Order: sequence, then C-alpha cells, then structure tokens
Amino acid sequence: MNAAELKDVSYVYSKNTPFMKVAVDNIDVNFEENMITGLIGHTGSGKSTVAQMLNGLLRPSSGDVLIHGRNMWEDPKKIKEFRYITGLVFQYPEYQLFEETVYKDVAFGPKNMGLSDEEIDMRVREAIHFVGLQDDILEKSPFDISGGQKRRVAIAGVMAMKPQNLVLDEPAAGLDPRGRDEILSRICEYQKTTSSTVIMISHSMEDMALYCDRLVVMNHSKPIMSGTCEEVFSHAEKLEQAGLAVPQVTKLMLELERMGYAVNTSVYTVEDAKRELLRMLGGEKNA
Amino acid sequence: MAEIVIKTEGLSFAYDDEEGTSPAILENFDLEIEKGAFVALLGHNGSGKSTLAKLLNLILTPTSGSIYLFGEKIDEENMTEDDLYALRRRVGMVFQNPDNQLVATIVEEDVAFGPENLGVPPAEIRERVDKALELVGMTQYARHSPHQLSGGQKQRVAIAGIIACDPEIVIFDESTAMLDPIGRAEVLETIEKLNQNNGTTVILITHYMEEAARADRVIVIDDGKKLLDGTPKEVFSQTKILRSAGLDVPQTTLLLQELAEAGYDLPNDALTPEEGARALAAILSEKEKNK
Repeated sequence: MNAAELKDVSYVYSKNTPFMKVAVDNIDVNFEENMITGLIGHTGSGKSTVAQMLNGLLRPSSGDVLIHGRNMWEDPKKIKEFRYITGLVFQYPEYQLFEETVYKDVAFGPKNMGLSDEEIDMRVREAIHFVGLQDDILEKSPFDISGGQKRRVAIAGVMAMKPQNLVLDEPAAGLDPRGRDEILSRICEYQKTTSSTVIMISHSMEDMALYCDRLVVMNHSKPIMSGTCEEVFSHAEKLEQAGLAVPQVTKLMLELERMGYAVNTSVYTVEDAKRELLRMLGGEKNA
Repeated sequence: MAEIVIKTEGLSFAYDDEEGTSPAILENFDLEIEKGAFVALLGHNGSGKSTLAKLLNLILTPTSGSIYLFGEKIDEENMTEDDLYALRRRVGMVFQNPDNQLVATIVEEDVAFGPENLGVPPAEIRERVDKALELVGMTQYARHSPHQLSGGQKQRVAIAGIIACDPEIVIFDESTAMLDPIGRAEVLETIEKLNQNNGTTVILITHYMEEAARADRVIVIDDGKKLLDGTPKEVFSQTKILRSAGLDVPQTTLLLQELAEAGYDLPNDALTPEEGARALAAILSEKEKNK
C-alpha cells in the first residue's frame, strides 16, 4: 500500500492575481510505505509545496491527496486527524522552538493531542533518545543548547507525536559533516524501529544516495523521475538538466567511462565505487 | 611577498555570561592572510570559525591578543568610533540567509543601500551599483523585486551590496549553506570572480569540502585552535585528522585513499572527480598492458 498518493494534483499560489504561480502542475506521485523516500529538485521545483500538501497544511487547488488510501480532503473538518498521521518538520525547525525547557517543547505536540501525562512523559523520553540526546537535556532551555542539538530537539517534537508518516524538509541543511551524518542516521534508525514512512527533502545527492530507498525527482512543478537511487542516478544528464547533480563518485565513474573504460556507472556511494574499481583492478593487493 | 592584510597574535575570545566567563571559543590564535588570497575556513559547528570572522570584522572585541588589519593594530580603547568604522568598511561580510540581508524592495536600491550610508556621491553610487551587479551577473534583474528571486540570486544581490561598499576583504560566513546545487555553484563562481578579477581577499567559511577544495589555502579550526593550514591538497590528504575534527574529505579523495590502502599506487590528494578519474585511468591502462 502507498503511504501517500497524489492524484492529478495541482497547486497554484495567489490564484487570479498578477502574482499567480503554478507550483505543482497536475502530478501523480506515490510514496511507498515503510521506507525512506527522497524528494529532490532545485529551488522552486515544487517539492516543499508537495511536502506541505502531504500534511494537509496546503489544500490542493485540484486533485486528490490519499493517505493510506483515504482521501484527505473528503471532509475538511477532519483534516486535523490527517495532520497527526503525517508529521511535518520544516526547514530550519530550530527557529520554531519556543518553550522554557526542552521537555515542554517536545511535549507540546503530544499535549495538544490530549494524551495523558504518563503517555506524554514516555513519548518525550523516547523521542529524545531517537534523535540521540540524553535525559539531562530535558530541563535545559532550548535556547541554551547548540545549533545541532536544537535541530534534534525540534525533530523530536514531531517524532513524539508518533506520526505514521514523517516528512522532513532539509533536515540536515546547514549542519557540519558530523552533525549531518548523525541526524540522518538517527532518522534512518527511527524509520526502521517504528516501521513508519519517511519522506525527506534534501539538496545533497551524496546524502540521498546513502540514506534513501527510493527517490522522486521534481523539475518545473512536475516529477520527472522516480525509482531506486540506482535507477535515478543512472540518468546523470537528465538530472543535470533539472539543475541537480549526481554524487561525486558517480561523476568520477562517468568520467572513466568517457575515457573509454568499461566501468559500471550506476555507482553512487564511495563504498560501491571502491568495490567496482577493485573488481576491475583485480582485487586487494595487500589482502 | 604580498602585503599581509590580516594578522592576529595570540587572539583569544570567550563569551561572558551570567555565571562569569564561559570557556574560550578561540585560544591563542595566530593567523596571517595575504592580500588577494582565497582562504577557506573549515571547522565543525561551534569550533570558533564564525567567532573568528566576527572578530576580524570588529563586531566582537578580543578577550586577549591582538588583531592587525592592513598593518594597523586594532586598539579599541585609543581609537575613535570613526577610526573603527573606517576599518570596518574595508572588511565586508556576507551571511548565511539571503532573506535576512536584503532591505529594499528593488534590487538596485538594495545594492545602493551600503554606499548611500557611507556618504558616497550619487553619481558614484550609480557607477558602483552597476559595476557590482555586473560582477555578480544580476544586471538584468536590477529593477526586479528581491523576493521574486531564487535563493542563489538573492545571495548574489547580497554580495553585490557588499561589493558596492568597495571592501578589500570579504568574509563569507556559510553563504552557500541554504542554497540548492545550482545556487551554490552560482555563488561560488561569483566568489571566485570577485577574488580573481577584482583582487579582493576572500575568506570562505563553509561545510562543503568540495567548495573548500577550490580555495588557494584551507585552514581547519578545531576547539578554537588551528588544526591544519595549507593548500587544499595538503589539508585533504590528512583524512584522519579531519575526521577527528568532525569534518570530511571530498568523496573523490576518500575513494582514492581507500584504494591506495588496498595496495594501489594512487595519490592521496586528488580533489575533483576529473582528477580522480585521470589517476585511476593511469593504473587501469597499466593493468591492461600487462595482460
């Protein structure tokens, strides 16, 4: 089953004004259950609009959004229910922290869901551990912790609502390499532990290759490709036309191919590239 | 030898908080940067690199140690506000979020904001604005509204606004962090042009190793101290030290290093995919010959 499905969906900003802009143009996209799907595309390609439609923050100008097969806007009064099913983490979510303590901030979502204090307490601690933080941070002010920690607290706030689908808009933007790896591998672990569905927007093809099971590529308000990383990254030219790049190692393999070597170019992590090159060279020398 | 435009001696800095002084962000930092250099500054979040940038722009005052800009020692106690302003305007800064740096509703007015405040005569402002927009490749958007531009374009307008103030040094504090690959490439090209065509000294703070690889010199800061300092090739061949500082090396560099460890004769300092492919082609063709 699909966790989310967009059918003939369009979204138009400032309709019937001189500033009218079609952000999403008549698209059909599926997001499969129980995996991490990467949503990629250059700025203005429509991916953040898609993210906001998945959680019901934006209502499509036309078309249907199905969540686990159910039409999200069938009864607009019940939209809140769908917002709990699909959690949305915005870009730079740390700017949205506002409470006195980390605990209160993470508890805000579950509290609004009307859960009991014991349940909230359990969820807060669980969420904090998911993002790799310890209990001792709970009583600190969210403004006294480092940028990377703030980001994690903000993500934990959404995880604590236990959404079946988690949508993250550039969760690693602006973090240093270690912070990036940490947060992405935590999200990956969270997905596996909870068997939930994760949809992640990122500009880093290297990160996408490492963490995503599937990719959806957007360009000019439409999806132009979807498939496994292998399938998508094998279309280097198409990606470049869409203003994106293939991972560095893929570029290296393509360059070797251009030079006349028969290499397998559907390689997108350093590890895969190493394996492929060792195969060509005849294995480890000093093994 | 070129003129030294930035020099620090034993530079230290710690933030004051309610409970007294917190641990030092920068400690005994010595640095010399030559005129016209393109220096990349790397370090994990909280390593002190932004603090260093703010010290060099005289936004922050050192706890101890000294800073020399253009050969002149910064002595805040004995210098007038005007003296400090005069120095500060020779060091421009571009920040991370383009939306926080644009103030006007028309691109060219935004670029004119800086020189207007410096009291530059109107005719010269016109000239500077046109020149700055040309350098960043935004001339055709001069009369557009900034909020309709892409992130990369906005950031280029922000850079034009700094260039119009005619600084001799420009510090970019993670100015590409919020941009998509195209926007990043645009901004980086603009930075290179500023450095090469204009002779402006550039300090680029970044988390992208591929960007740092394009500088002439890379300085790595860890816990407020200088950890590595050299050409990109020298620095990125030190994978272990970089990793220990929470940083990375470009994928190409890493791949070739791992293959070298498996016993192949490959350089440990290849930075670009093209360079890596050439090195690999050499050993692959060697192998074919021996067949």
